[in-house]
Amino acid sequence: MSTLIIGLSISMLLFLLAAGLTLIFGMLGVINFAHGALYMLGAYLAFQAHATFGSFWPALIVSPLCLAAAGLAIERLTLRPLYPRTHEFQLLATFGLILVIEEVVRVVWGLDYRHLTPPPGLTGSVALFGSDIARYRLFVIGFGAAVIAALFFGIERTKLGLVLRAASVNPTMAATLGIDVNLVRSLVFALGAGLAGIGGTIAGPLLPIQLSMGFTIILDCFIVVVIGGLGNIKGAVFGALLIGMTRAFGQLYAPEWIDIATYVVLLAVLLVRPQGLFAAKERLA
Amino acid sequence: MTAPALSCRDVTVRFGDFTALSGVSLDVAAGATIALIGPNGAGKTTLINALSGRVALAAGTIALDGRDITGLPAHARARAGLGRSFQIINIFPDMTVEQNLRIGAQAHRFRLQPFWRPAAAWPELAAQARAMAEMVGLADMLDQPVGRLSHGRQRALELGLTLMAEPRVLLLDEPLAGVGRQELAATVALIDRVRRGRTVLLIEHNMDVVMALSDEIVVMMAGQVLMRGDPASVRADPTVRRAYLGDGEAA
Amino acid sequence: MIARETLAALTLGAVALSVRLLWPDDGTLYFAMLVMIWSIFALGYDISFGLTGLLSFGHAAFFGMGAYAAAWTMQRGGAGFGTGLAAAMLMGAVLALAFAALATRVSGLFFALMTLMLGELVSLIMTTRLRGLSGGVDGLPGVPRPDWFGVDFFENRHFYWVVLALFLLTLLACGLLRRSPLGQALLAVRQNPVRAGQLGLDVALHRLIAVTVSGAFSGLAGALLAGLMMYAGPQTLGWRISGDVVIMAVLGGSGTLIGPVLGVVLVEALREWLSLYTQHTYGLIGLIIILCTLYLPRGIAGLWKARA
Repeated sequence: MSTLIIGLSISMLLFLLAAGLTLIFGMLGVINFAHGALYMLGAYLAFQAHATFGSFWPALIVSPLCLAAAGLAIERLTLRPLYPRTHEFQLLATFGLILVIEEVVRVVWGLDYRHLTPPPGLTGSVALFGSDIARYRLFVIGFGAAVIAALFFGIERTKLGLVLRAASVNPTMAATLGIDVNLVRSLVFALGAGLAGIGGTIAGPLLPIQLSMGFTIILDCFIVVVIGGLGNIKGAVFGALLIGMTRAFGQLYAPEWIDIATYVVLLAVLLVRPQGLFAAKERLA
Repeated sequence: MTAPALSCRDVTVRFGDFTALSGVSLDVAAGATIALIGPNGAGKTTLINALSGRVALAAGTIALDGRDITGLPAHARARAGLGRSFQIINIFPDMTVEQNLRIGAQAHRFRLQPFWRPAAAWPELAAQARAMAEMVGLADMLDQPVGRLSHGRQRALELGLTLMAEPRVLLLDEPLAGVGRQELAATVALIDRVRRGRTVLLIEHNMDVVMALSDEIVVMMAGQVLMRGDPASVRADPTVRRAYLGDGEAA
Repeated sequence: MIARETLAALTLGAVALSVRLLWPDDGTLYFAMLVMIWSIFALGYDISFGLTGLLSFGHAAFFGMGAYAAAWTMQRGGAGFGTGLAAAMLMGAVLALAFAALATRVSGLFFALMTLMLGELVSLIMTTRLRGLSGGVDGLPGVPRPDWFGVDFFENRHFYWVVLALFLLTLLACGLLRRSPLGQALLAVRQNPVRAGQLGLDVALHRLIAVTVSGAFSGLAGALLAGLMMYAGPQTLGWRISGDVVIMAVLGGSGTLIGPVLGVVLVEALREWLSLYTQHTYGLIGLIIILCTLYLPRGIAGLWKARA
């Protein structure tokens, strides 16, 4: 049971990041290599906010907001001029961003591990179905589920979501309909960065905060979005569950093989369905 | 009786839930020029894509000179003598006219491209490129980057590229699309020259051109063959007139 | 245009030669050898990316495994340096063929993702599963250098000739490849795969060929690096190495013969030079990468072309 809970909490974390990646890809056509670095930055900012305000909750607001603002700036300054060019340039720019963000973090916070304590009511564990379950993990699952629900509602049911979907399917058409595609792109990148900030914050109490945390998780996120089909949020939910559970149960039964097993899952999926399990769009030529 | 140069049987193509072609059967006799007409979305380009190996079939078979080529990829069909041109100009954009045509020559000449000598070591490649440039009227612009050519010239290059593979059967997808009034007559004359001695399946909207170039007309509608006949009888057919020619000539 | 390419390549060769003749101190020679070895890697990489348009983020696997293959054949197999290099090229080629067979099933950005993850998989297997073979995080120290004609190649001023010769050979091979029918065909595949296929070119096959050849040169570079450092380790398998070679190729001018070499010179020189003044080398290089993607889309080599 506790393995299931651990798996679910990892899945939620993966989803928060994969959702941002996949939204950004769907809208901007960019694979954001720096997404893991943004998540890492979010974790450090959360640590800083926690130290400043003395509580976890302000961190959960401050860090995502800072990240969203940073996302806006990044999109404006580095990505927008590159949309007319080929994909390599966007990839490279986000790759350069990784180096810059890592350097900033190194300068400000140094190389030591940092850690966040869970907020007061969420420490310790509860007995559930006969096993001890960390309260904080339950919170992560509940919170993650709430974010998923909000995202789905926002995309499927609101006018903003409609605009977003229209602009991602056909930006030229959307522009002729009077939609400010550039603004939508900025907002989506900010939203993705904000989600990475949420991810970084809630990961704080679960994992040590360190420079390499971004790259460790971004590979899993790539796997999640490729399995789910890039640009597909529903696919991202499924992919995150699959990889989260593989990780949790693998850790229990075959910890030595878990990383390799994750890649094998990915390769198997790609060989059977190269366009991902939930491909919504045609792959780019 | 000899086998038709190109034939397909019960060809069906689906994109997801949408059936673009359903059970199309068509024979093209050797040496004939057949025009495919029909309203937009009738499946004309899809048929050419299916014949040339660009899209996979859900059902059906395709044969070239009586030989089944259904399972062959596009490049193998090209090697077997099936050439095609594209509705949207499809050339190598960052090369000169000569480089474009030379790629065609070497693609036809070598199955595995040699790497141990410069391409200039095979002078016949450049010679073939030049001969083709002369044939399609581009001899004086061999060194021009193709991006600088007029639309009509790019059309000519498109056709020249297709011919470099020495196809016996030609699939031409709207070879006049976007060609300006001044260049129209020359391009039609070029196609007329090219079709001699070859088997041609041609998609074209301009009915005058269709009447002038084709031996027979096949009318497509909603992914199926509606009728087939000689140009005069197709033109006179009331169903065709209602379905297509009425608004087609305006287009 | 072709003449200018030849001229530029000759200039590079002359510079590399004059370094050995004019500044034969150990530090300079080591740096120049590092540049030449990375140039071989970048030249090989650009066969896949610049020539054929396949953006790989997994070339570290071919590079690093080349280093290991050379170490294994020489240390365990007792083979000579030449055999070690051959084994490294074979290793790079075979691995690249396997990567390409899997990754060319998908296109564009997915190819980049696939190769990145395949590269990480190789790195993971080597560092966690095959510690006995890879030496784990410690790697394999004591990779030998050649012992030809009784010359002491452990001296950098002698080993330099080996590296220089292989660098020039690679430059020559890549220059020839670019002008050969194969190179032209790869360029065609890059520019318009649909048309190339319709002309009768087997696009899938030519992509496999390009990545395989690219992998062989990457393996050669890895083996030379192992020889230079007298060490083969798992660091050379990491994603940063893949990223570095992409950066070098693009900054220098991908798709040109000497562009990748110029990129290597730029990045390595920046690294050396910046590290004299600041500890924040990586971040500054990141900034430079972003600026170059924004303002120098065709790389350093593009500066010439734009003017000519």
